[in-house]
Amino acid sequence: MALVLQIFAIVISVLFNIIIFQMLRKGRLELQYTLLWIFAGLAILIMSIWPQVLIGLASLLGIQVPMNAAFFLGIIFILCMLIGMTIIVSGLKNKIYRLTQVIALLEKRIEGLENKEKTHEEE
Amino acid sequence: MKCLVIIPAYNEAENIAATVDELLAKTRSFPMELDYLVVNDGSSDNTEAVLREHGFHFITLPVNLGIGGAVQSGYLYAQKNNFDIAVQMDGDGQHMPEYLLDLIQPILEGKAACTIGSRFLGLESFRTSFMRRLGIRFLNFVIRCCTGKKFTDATSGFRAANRQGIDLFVRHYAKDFPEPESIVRVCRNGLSIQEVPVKMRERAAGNSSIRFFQSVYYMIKVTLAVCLARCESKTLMDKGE
Repeated sequence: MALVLQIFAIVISVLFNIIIFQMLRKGRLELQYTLLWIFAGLAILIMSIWPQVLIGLASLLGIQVPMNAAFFLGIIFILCMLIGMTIIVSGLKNKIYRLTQVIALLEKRIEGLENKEKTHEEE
Repeated sequence: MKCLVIIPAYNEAENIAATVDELLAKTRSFPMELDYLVVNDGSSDNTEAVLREHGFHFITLPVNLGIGGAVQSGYLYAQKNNFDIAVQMDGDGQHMPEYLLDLIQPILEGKAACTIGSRFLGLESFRTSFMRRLGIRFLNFVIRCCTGKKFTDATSGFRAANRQGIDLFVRHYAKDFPEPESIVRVCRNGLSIQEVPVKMRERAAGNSSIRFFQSVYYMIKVTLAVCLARCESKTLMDKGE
């Protein structure tokens, strides 16, 4: 790999890891959802420092150009992350629906109690 | 002085009545005002029906939040109702109310802000599985690295906190596997935490929510979470979520 490219890759992956770590520290990222990102960040860092890893993976998969292997694995990873996110969002949607319903029912109960109070006062 | 016992319960229809009855029976002559709150974490069985039938004090979460969210609800209740001490106790009867006073003793004496009931401080208890004990010892080691203090039972859910602890847990309480992480958080916020020897029992009925296959995920996640709690940013500590 050309030296410039490698240096660029290392800088980017270090920045990526730092950003993830800082977001975690500040509580802007939930650890539970971030585990895979941490894994990806480390993998990217390792592969940019030791391109042999990527080259080895490429030949293992029968891919001629190592960069293609990077694209291929990268795309698979992104697909997995997206599916994971979709699952999480679906779960959240259900929870929000349930909360909305409960709030509506609580409103009705509160109104009922307020009316009862009013009619007692009037009596 | 008011003390609240928080009892998180998820699908504990079989055990919850016995647990609360035992708590009430064994704390008849408690030296201060004692109340309890069962936090029904969106149970899908008839836990709520059982709670209503017995007239227990409880809240029902409309959505399941997990142990962290459920217990935090209890701390929120404690804060809003001006309790001085909050105690966490499992809903499955593993924890023994006889040790409640021992557990809060260091808080009453002003020696600690938080206390943990430990099974491994000399009092005879049932033996957990080898794997579980190994896991606990590993966690104790990680926590020791992060806080410099030695703990023997980092996963114990039998704990107590004073007002400062309550306020901290209302601001921050981990969503999953909160017990080890909260120890580090307490230390990081400069609060004193101490262990108290207690006895515990085996689960009476039903399933423990941590099953064998989740163990590896648990160990990795908890270790990371504990280390992260150690590195938490100052603004997050002050502001809360």
